[in-house]
Amino acid sequence: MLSLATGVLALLACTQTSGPSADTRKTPELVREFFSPSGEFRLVISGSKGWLNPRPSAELFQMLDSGRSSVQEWRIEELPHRLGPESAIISNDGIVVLVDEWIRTPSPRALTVFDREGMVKSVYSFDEIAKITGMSPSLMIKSAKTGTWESGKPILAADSVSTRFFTCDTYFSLNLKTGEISSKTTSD
Amino acid sequence: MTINHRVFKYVLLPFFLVFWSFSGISRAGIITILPIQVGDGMGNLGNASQQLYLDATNKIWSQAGLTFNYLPFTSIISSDFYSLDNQTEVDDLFAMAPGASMMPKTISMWFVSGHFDAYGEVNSTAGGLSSNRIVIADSVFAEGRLDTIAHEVGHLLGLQHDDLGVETNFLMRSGDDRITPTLIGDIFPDGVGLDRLTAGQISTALSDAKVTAVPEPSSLILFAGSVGIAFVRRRRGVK
Repeated sequence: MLSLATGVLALLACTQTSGPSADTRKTPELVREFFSPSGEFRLVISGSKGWLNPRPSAELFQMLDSGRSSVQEWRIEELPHRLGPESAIISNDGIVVLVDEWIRTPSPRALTVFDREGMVKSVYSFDEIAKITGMSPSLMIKSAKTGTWESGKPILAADSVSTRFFTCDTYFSLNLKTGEISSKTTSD
Repeated sequence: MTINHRVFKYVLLPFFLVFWSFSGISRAGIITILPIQVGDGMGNLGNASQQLYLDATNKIWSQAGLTFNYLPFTSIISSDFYSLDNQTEVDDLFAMAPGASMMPKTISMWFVSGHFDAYGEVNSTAGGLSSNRIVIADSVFAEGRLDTIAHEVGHLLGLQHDDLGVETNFLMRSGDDRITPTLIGDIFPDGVGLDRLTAGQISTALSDAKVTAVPEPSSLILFAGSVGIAFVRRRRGVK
């Protein structure tokens, strides 16, 4: 009986977390992977040293031989995104879109588009998305289900040419070829 | 002139004006903080660049009329407390409180290199000097979390994550899902209006003993005016 109690206490000691008066720091997994719908491209976001450095690296791989081997397309040593992006989309052409930052903030990097060579094609801030969609920034935040403005999961078009993002009760499209976004009135 | 007139003119009227001016001291206060950098003995210090995010903190707490006053930085050396790897080390830091202020209204704030799962934490033990303690980790500055210091002070003033009306754009929402500002311009009442406080929270915070009430400028002007009127009336009475 005593050993059981000791075990429970030891377990509690191991699992203890900061109290209710702490400002909790929720970090992502140290290594996260994102795949293109076809599975041909794999993006790896890697933090280091238990996130002592909040700027992770990013690597894009092209999978070969049905995933048995891969070749590195590009690598960025330090992303400016704090704790990495909130999420990422990879098209079947190897275009990468990083969405928001992991920390919930009206980010200057709400959308970052990288071309096949890993060069930044375009960057849109939270404020720019508000302007383009004509939505109130406060409403965007209130409607956010993930990050600070996404009210629904983005949809990558079947032809991998564009991605549709949702905020409040509207949406806009990001052209992956050009890196430009347009509100629904002009894209549809 | 009757005695009643004189009593009114020279005693009651000035007294009323002075009392009236002080009753205007309603919602202004100062929070005093002693910043303590924790070193590892090998030349490394928590918050090495001595950032305080004072502008952001003051803007957030201006909702309650509070301003922050930082005493000069001090430092201690402790390899144990330089990085807080578990709750026991956090509790030990609060219990031993090396270098803490002995002033009852002064908050001691230790800056450490790391905290095992939080940006900051306050001593949840209530009562006296023990409840005047905050620890802040370097991740606050590495990630630019402008509102963590304001959040932790909120805890010391009696505010909680689950206070009525607290949503993701409110200061006291937990750090794991609070929407935090990157720019001061996004702090309430500007921009997207982040880090709000509820009316109930403002009332709770202002009634805390750690808040030192100060007269608002309007109150000071009124007070000075009252004294001036009383002085002039007294001078005229002498003639």
